[in-house]
Amino acid sequence: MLDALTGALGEVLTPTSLLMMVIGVVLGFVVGILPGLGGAVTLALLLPFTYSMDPIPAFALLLGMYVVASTAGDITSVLFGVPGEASSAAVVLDGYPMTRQGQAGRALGAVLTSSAVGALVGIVVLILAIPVIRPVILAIGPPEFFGLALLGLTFVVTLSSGQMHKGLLACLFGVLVSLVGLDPSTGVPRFTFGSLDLWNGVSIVPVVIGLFGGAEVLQLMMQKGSVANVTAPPDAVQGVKSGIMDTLRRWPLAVRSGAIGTALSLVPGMGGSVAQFIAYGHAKQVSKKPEEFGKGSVEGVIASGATGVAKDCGSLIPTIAFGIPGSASSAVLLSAFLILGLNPGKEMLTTDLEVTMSMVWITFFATVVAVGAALLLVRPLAKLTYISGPLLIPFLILLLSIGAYSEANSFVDIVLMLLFVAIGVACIRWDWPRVPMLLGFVLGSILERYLFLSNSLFGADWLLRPAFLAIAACIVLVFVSYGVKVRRERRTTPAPELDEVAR
Amino acid sequence: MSANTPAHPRRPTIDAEVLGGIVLAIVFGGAFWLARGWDRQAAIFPLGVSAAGFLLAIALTVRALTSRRMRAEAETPHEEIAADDNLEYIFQTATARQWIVTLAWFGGFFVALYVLGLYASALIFTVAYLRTQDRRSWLFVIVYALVLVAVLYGAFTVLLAKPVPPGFFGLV
Repeated sequence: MLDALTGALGEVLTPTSLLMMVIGVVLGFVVGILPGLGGAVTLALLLPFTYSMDPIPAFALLLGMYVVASTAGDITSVLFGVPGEASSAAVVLDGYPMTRQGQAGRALGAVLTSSAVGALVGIVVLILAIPVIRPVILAIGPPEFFGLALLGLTFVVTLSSGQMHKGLLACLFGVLVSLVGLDPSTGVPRFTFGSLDLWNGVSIVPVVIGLFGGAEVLQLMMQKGSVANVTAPPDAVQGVKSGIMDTLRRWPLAVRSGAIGTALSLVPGMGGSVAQFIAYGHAKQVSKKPEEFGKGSVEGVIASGATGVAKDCGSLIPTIAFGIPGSASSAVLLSAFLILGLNPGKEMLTTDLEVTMSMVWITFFATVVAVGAALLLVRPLAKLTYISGPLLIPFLILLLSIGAYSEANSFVDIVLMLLFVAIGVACIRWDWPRVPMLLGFVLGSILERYLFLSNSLFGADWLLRPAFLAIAACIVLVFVSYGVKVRRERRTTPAPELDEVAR
Repeated sequence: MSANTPAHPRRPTIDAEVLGGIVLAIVFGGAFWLARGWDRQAAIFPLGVSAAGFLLAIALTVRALTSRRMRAEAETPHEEIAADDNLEYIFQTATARQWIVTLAWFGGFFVALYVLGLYASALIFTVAYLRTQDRRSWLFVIVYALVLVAVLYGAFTVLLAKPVPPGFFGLV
């Protein structure tokens, strides 16, 4: 394997491969920053250019673009509260508050560094997983995937911030929205109200952009100030170094979040949208200052940022080992394999191992180049947040509309985005949590799919599978620890307030 | 603070929690009603979700109606508002005029987008918005709008060949 790794390094460092990678990195930046222009769409647009290429330069172009898009997507999340990628939504939760407090430089420094740390974790897992992944993945079936999705849903407990009842309701509403469209097993249209446009379901892009980005644009339109809510001191965009140091000091959190991103992306269909919120929920759960989450906690930024590239590495594993794409983007990558004459599966782990290892190196170099370039650009980027708000409005409102439209080239998505803008603003106005809604939305269809598969394949016996029982025990543990925490907090609440509560 | 003194003044308006509970109960109830008519396999999961949501929404409404004070003190003290929404948002304090002006501009853009398509609406909105809301000079707003549209056109139509909203008249 070491031979393949060194051989692949030589292949990646050829001028053609490096040139393709640089082109990919530049494209990845553009794609990542523009909401709605997802990695999958751009990968599909780039596919025709790879027809006549050798496999390694072709993957340098495709993977270079793919992995950088995740990192670049975090930049608009931090600066404007508009996620560049659906998998950058969780970065908004604390990255944007930091920007509004005049700490855009620190937030960008932290998120970019954590993205690099997460990428390293993903790369290591990718290398280590290649020889052993087949038996591991084959041991996990739909019941375990269902259990993992259910475990993800339990993070509503953490993400509701003391508003469990509302959080659960918001989460169930998100699940309900995820069920819109044709039922995958019977083809029955559900909640489509006779509209053909809804047959494909509601895409995550208009939901994320509406819930988070739309509300921020309206806020900016009303307040008419700059994004950063403070007067810019001369060193307002300093803090990049402190952001980098924040991540390095909290490296265990970045490593754990990267591992969560990689592990969850192994599960087909889970993807980065789920991983980022689970990593965020985990960070909040273990934090000594959970009350700072949502107000500009650097830990929240680190946790969600670390899943970016890590989840791309994770989704590559089943694509390479089985030809099972873990996400829409890896499905397009899979077609690139076939176009280039590569057969995912055993061949990629034996005769074509050098190509597989070249992907490891491409991911590594593309991340290093992207993070390095982004860190150099942090200062000018952060200065954007001190520009007059009205001047940014036309640009941001166009980002919203193109972002929502580009996913399916449908105006219905813009209408859906506006609907979620209204829901997002109502949530803020009347103190309803938005994150559980998004968590329910991304996990809803996954839960249903694996529940159906589990029942079809195993009847009721799947409830007794050891791996599922272990996951179920973790779920119970989450609720028990929450109950204990609430009881402890109640005990420490001053007596007069308890009296008031009791009335 | 004495036990009889409220932590913060009560709003004389309809309780948002009651209203939210009722709206969600209607949504989940409606979803349950719709799902009843589907094939069993397609309906089972939506039925479960909507039933759970309906019961929770009713519970929230009842709790909000019966123990309003307890809820206000126990669940939503000012320090413990939802984690993602704890910034200083203007939505709580905005005047009716601010809402009307903002929604008129915001909605107006999307109406223009539907009718005129991306490039024309971007041009008109940018010029009109910056002239009236930011008091910029004509020269500035025209140059700004042209550059913005040129960048959009270059990125989406020329480089990526991606469709953009064409508008009702197919102007793009």
